[in-house]
Amino acid sequence: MTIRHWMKIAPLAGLLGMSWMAAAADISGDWIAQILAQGQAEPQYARVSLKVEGSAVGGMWGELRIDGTLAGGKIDLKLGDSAGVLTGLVTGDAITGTGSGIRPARGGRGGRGGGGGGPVSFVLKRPAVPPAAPRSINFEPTDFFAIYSAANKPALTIFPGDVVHTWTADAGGVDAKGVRHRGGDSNIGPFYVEGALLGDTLVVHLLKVRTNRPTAHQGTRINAHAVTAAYLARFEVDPNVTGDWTLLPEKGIAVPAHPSEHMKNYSIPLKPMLGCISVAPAGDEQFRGGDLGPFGGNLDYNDNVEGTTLYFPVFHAGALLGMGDGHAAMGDGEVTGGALETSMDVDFSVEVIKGDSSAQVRAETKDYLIAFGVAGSVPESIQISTSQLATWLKKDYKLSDSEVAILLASTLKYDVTELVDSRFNVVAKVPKSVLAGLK
Amino acid sequence: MKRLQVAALVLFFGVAFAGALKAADSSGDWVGQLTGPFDSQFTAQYDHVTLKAAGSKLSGTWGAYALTGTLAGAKADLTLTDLKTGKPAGTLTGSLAGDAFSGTGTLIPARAVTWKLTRAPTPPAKPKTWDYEPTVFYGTYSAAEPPILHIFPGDTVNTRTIDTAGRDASAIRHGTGGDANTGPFYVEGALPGDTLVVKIVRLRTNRPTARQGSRFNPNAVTQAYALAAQYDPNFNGEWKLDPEKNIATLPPSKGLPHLTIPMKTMLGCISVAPPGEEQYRGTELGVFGGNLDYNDNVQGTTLYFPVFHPGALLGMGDAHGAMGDGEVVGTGLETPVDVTFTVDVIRGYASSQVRAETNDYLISFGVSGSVPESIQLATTQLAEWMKKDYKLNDSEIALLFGDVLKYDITELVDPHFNVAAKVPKSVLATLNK
Repeated sequence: MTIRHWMKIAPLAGLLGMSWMAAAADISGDWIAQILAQGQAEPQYARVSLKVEGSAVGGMWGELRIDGTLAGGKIDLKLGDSAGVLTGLVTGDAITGTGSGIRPARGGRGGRGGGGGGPVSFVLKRPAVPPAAPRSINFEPTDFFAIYSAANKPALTIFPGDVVHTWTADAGGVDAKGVRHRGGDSNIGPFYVEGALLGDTLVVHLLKVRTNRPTAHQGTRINAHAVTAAYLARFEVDPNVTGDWTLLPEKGIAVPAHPSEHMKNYSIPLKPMLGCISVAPAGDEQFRGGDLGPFGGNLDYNDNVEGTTLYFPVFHAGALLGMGDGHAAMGDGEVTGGALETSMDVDFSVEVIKGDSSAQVRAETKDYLIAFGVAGSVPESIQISTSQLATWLKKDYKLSDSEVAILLASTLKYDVTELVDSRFNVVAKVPKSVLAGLK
Repeated sequence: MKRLQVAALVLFFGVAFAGALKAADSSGDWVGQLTGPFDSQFTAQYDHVTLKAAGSKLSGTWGAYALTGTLAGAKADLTLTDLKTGKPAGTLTGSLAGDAFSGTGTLIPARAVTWKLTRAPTPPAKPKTWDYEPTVFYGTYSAAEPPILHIFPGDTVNTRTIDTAGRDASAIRHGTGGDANTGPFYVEGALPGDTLVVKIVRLRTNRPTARQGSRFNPNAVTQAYALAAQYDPNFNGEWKLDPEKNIATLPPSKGLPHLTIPMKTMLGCISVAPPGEEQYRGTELGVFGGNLDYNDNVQGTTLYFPVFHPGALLGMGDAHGAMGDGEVVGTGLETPVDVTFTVDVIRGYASSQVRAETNDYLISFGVSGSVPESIQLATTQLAEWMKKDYKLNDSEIALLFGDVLKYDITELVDPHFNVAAKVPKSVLATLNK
């Protein structure tokens, strides 16, 4: 190598050296913080952005402003409003350390940075890098979970924008081929959604919900919540009414497989829906597949069909989405306990709304904005769903309390969706046609 | 007004003439009345009675009884037997005086009764159309309210209602409001145990304004929401109604600068007189109907009421230009309306509560003290209806309801709750009756 040659490449080498040094020290950009406080089994999360200028470190930790320094590999951070003091070391692709004060207050939302005191340890990791373009993923379920819980191991990790093509077994666990898997309103998944943190909203678009076998089975006795005790006491079971159905998706109808005389020509329109759709419930909570709550689950809403979008409050990193319990059709309240239970082909895609979530699940169809209200009684379900809908409209449409009251009082609709499972569910909904142009 | 007087005269002479003709022949339709210890109040029991006279022999039916007997001169001896079982049901003796029978008797199980037969009113040759201009409005559901018009099945009535506050089309106030009703209309031929059928032929708002509240009722939202809500005490809830375009527009506010909603004009109150001596305020609801606040009680809807008193005593009021489910602020778009309705009577059958029928649904109401009970009552009544009219058994009904039942929560804010259970007529059309 001649000197002349060397002189040519020297600046390049210097550049390379500098960029290597910068890379080692360049901690600017987005991070996900996991904060573990003493006595907490599960970490809290915060979105963090760091901005390094010389030895000064600025940026945001959740909703808190960062005022810090970086010297060698050591970082010292003070969080705004005296919310916390942290010290850590930059090691490879992570920053780990300890400190005090950023432990989320009781009931606080980790994704927003939190508050409160006490010693904590933390790890900052870079957010997962999404694929260059959203993927189309064929997911063949092999395991089915019948307990809603954050302890379920994710079956697949997906990114916002990804489309998943999959299928669900019926409430009893039987799939399209007649193979029996775990039943009890078991769900497929859970799907770990990258970028979804506690305090976010998981958006699930049901792109396709179609029956995938020609049979369904329905209960033939009416539930005690649907009729009077006197009616139930006189109820005479007709053993010839089997509840077996033949599904004719090409005609869009279902007909009884062994019809009684009165029902020889009986047919009902198919409206395939997912009875269960869920994220993992909050904290260490565990619920059976038939249960429902703010995490969704066995909502049994007969408008959770192809084309519907659902909005879930996220309680755990990755949200942990699951679904199952397809019905080919169902009357309000699922008054026979089982609707036309069958297996489904399902396509869905996901998105994440960061830093905002509602108290319970919400949904959107072509025509309505919908708030669910799962509770221990129907009257309470009504109150919760109406309140959640009102809160939603106040926020998204910037309405006052009086405005939202008169808007709902003139246009509100209720659907009684769940009368027969562990909890009740009523939805409150408002037509989008009325909302159009209000924003 | 003139037309009304002429119509009344025609009716009077018509009835008198028909009566004179038939006095000699006891054949025909009568109203039977039995009074005795059926209850502690000795409430009169009414039945449709048909007599056929052949010489001195009488035959026919008295409600659910078969009737045989003799009429010798003015003296009548009647024997009743159960139509279904053929078992003896009682004997009555009495006399015919003018155009009425009266007497005493004994029913089985042993009850000493007095009885009366009066001629069933003869309907006009063809149904009439009445223009009834209300001058009084009643704010209490009660059989004690004097009827303001007697009509026959098949008749059509054009009338109007005032708004919930008692204001009419010109905003003139009549009385104190409180969901005052127009009526009661006495429907000839309707007896307790029958069903009164009311079809709302036309319903149209007749004032360009409607007022609505803007605070949630506590049954509609959580306590936390109600406590945190900051209502504007000066909020203007006076809607502009445009029935031509079928839209209602709210005066502009900051967040709702141009809220326009479709009108769906409905009757909040529609009722027959409640059972016995029961009395309820205008805002109440029950098995007699009343303040049902169902937003599908609109033009084209037919309602079926259990009849508790002779003449049924139909009333209506409290119209809304539109209303969301449950009437969650305590009011709809409160406004007066022009109403056209027709009536009919289904004899010898009554459901436990009110039912309705629209283009698309058969609907059963369940008024009760709680929403869960309302759900049970509404579903059960709908099941009984299916059993009777479609001959379905319990398992078939369960299947049907599990497939296609819909619920509407109609009333959350008044003294009782109301939930409607309904089934689509399109699916019922596939059943073999």
